[in-house]
Amino acid sequence: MEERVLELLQDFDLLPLALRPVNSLSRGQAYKTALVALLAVDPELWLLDEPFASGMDPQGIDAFKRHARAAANRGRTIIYSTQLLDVAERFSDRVCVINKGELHAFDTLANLRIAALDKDNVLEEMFRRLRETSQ
Amino acid sequence: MKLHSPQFEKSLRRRIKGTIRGSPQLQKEFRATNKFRKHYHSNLLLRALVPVFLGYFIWRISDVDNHPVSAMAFISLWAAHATLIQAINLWSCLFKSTDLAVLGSLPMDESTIFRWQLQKFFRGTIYSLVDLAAAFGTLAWLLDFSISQWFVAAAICFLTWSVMLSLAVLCTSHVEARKYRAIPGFVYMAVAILFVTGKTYGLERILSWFDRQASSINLLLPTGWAVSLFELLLPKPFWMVLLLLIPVAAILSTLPDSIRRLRKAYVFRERIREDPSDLLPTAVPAANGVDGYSNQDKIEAGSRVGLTEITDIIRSRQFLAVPEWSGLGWCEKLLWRWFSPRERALSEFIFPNGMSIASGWTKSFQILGFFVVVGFIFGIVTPVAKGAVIGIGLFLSFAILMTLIYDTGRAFEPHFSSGFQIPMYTNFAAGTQELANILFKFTAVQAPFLLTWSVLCGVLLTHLNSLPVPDGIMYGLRGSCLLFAGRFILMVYGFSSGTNDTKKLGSRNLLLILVIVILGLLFLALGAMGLVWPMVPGLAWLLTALAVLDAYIFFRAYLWFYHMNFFDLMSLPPRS
Repeated sequence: MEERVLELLQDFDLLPLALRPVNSLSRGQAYKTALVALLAVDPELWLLDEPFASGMDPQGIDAFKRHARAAANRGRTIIYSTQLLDVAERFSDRVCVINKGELHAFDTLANLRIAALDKDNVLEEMFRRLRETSQ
Repeated sequence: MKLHSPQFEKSLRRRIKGTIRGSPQLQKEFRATNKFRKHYHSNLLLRALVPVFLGYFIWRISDVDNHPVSAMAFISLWAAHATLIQAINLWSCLFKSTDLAVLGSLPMDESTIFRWQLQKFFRGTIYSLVDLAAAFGTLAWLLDFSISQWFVAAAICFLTWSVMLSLAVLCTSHVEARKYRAIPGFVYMAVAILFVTGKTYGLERILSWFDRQASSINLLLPTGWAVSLFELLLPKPFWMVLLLLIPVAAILSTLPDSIRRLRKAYVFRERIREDPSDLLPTAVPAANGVDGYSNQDKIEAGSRVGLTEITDIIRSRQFLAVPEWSGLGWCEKLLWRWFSPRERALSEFIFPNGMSIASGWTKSFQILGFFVVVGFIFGIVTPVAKGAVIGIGLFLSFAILMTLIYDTGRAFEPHFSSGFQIPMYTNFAAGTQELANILFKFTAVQAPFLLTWSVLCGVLLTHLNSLPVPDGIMYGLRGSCLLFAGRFILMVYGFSSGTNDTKKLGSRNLLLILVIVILGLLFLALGAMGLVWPMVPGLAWLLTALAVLDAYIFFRAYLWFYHMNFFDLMSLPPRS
């Protein structure tokens, strides 16, 4: 476990900060610390709230993406929320679209693309349509 | 469930240090990131001063009074005050701790969280045991106790501490914290009044009065029952005090039941919002078009009754309207005219419901008038009752006055944002100076009321003490100046409450504390001397003027530190 924690601290550039109390860290650093704790435990299911809007630096986001992808390949389930549609399109196996508390779609991106007539920015298009319908 | 392994942490720390040491690049980064972070928390040092002060007070009381029972009464009073503090701490620890959000999301049952929080509370109460040990130890040292007497004194100290804890848990489990949360504040106020009175009338007179009440205090206060057992160690022991062991045992026996009761009530419930009052219980509307909306409209709108009051307010754009100052008293209108346009805009954020000055003062004068009339009627029967009734009236109207002249609205209210507490005024980008201007004007406009109230009280007090009325007028005038100057002091307190200025020990923070303590004590000393130096009126006025000047310098000095960015506004949640 020690090896794993050290490795993760290095991956997330946290080693120089590792001896400091968490409440003296910045928001992004604190988020990275929480991610390290999560990755060290390596649970079956990850629930993440807006990881891409957490104030992490580019290295942190890159490390998170690598570890998340590796975990998904190991069979872990990762559920995360995001408002960044292009990130969701590029980084998710399945997408769940929720608008105003209602579930509008839950499928793989490939299927959603077919439904949206092969548009690249399928999620943006979907939200645009939802907005037009509600108006 | 084990969440923390000290061995793992120790070993990991060692390996982290080793890894950093092994890489020059990491060493460089480590030094850079930790350069300005070596802070030591001042709380521990400040807490360590409490037993020192307690021991000093016991020594002073015993030295002046030469009567151990007075010192014991002081310990009983202190223990009663500490009990309330512990009860508030326990309530905060169980229901308001910042750890609860994290603990609640872990897979563990509530009884485990309860046990951990309770353990945390009990660990924190060790400080009170140290305080009591310092107090009893000083007394034992002054009385030149033998070894066996020291052991008995230690047992009494432990018993007093146990009673304190039992009472604190009993209090938390049976009474809502909001009902006693303000009491410690009143205790500090009473101590300040005693301090000023002691300066005026002499410590010996105050202590001789206290000495006369000492036995009653020890008998009346539950915290004094265990302390009273100390009498057994005095030269002529009064063996009947052993009977007090019965109520002491009764208090101690409540502890398991109180804990059980708290544990039973320690259940997290999900907050479920109630349905809005305009939402229909069933989805089928009764009739079509009764209120101008078709059934289809109602279904699409979520089966609501119709337009809500909130909708009406939003449609009428009332929320953007300027507050109706014209409907308020002349005082509020004057203040409104005095404000600059920018200050008017800011005042709407600070006082969102408008400022109510005149009605508060009316209430204060009405209460004072009522108690004065009742006091004089009682005075026909007994002069003592007259003083007591007028005293209550003075206290109540003074309490209202304090809330009026020192009101800060929502300006310094803490707001939790992304894990940090920041004061409200920083949310709407109000500068410290402009906020201070608004608050200063708010107090200044009340000067006529304050002057009238102070002169009235001065006259009343001199009348009750059979002193010349002109002296009372002078007391009142000087008192109003000091109360006015208090605004500067309390503004500093307001600004300070939202910063981390005294959280860490560093040269800058120590300098700030030194400046604030010196200027604060100078204000108290000059104010007290100016208030009670009637023999030389010119000198009394000079001292009062110096006290006001000192309060202003106090305020300016703090703002200088503030503007030099010596501390920041992020008040981090306490580590526990």
